Amino acid sequence: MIENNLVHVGIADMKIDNSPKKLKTVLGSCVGICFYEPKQKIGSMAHIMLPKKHNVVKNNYKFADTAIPEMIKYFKKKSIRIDELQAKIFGGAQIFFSNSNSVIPDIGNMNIEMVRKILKKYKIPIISEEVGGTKGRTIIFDLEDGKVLCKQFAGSEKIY
Amino acid sequence: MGIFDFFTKKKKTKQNDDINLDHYMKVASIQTINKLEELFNYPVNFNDFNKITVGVNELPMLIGKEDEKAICVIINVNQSISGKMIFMVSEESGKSIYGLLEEDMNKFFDKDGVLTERAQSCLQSVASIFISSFVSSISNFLGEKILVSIPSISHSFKYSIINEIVFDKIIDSENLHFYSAKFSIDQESVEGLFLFMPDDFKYFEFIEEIK
Repeated sequence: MIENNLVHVGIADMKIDNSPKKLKTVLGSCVGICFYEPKQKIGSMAHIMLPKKHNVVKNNYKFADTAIPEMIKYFKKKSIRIDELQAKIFGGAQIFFSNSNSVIPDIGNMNIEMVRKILKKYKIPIISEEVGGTKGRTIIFDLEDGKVLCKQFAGSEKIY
Repeated sequence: MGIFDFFTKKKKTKQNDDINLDHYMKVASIQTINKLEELFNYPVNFNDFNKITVGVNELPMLIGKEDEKAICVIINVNQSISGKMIFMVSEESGKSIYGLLEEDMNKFFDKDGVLTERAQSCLQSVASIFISSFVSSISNFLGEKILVSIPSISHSFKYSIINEIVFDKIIDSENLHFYSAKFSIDQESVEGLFLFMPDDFKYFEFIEEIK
């Protein structure tokens, strides 16, 4: 039953849908941004990989600073104003066990900071979040009630 | 042009570099297999390298389902060739590798299901042997130094791992260019993926798009 309604959001991807659909993605240092409009039960999820867009790349969903305006644009098309939106954000972990000489920079933290900055710019409140840490996460966004089930890799699960 | 110039000034084109490096890669893979067979005491299969170009969104399809758990070790190389060398195995294969080298299987996961430091160290060592023997063969062929970083390891969902492998390759590009090979030990049900993501294209030219 759940599987029939499940919509997978890929890497550098964005989906917008209505209840009874559920949007799902798997995150590491990427950040999952969920927008919800409770009256019409419309929700959107973006899976961004990097904080800031560079000129030549066409896929806007890859970057925090371009994915969020794209999401807003889709809600506007459905006559939903920015001030009706609420955001929940997840991910941005540093999943490589590393020491000070690591070859892997903390891209997760950079993604989180940029997402917060862009949401603040558009005055969209973050009503829940589970970000940072060292574990990957699976998130399932239920468009019936706007709740997000966040399962940590080899760890706890919690509903936001 | 003096007569000796003909012999000394061999024209070195990018195409030649490509062909040579492809050849070196294949020979290096044979030397790497030998090293791994010595380590595990089992025959190791190592498929020939493929040069692959895929869109960012297509990479997950190449490495498996989103919820599958994987263990990944990344080692950066630089100087005459530079980029990331990646050793990736499923959780089960990681456990099998650990079982080949360590006696106490109970120390693979901690109580939360996360890799223990001992398991991390074991798999980092195997990946280091794998990648170092590969890099040292290439270095011998090129007659040039290649520097190798310390390994970084991750144990997570495959999708979770991807971003940290590719983030610096996709800033200015829609596509990822890399070498890929599969390795396996049939007797122990070990299967894994070896990827090399070059930083620059001194030796690399990707012309085929595989979808």
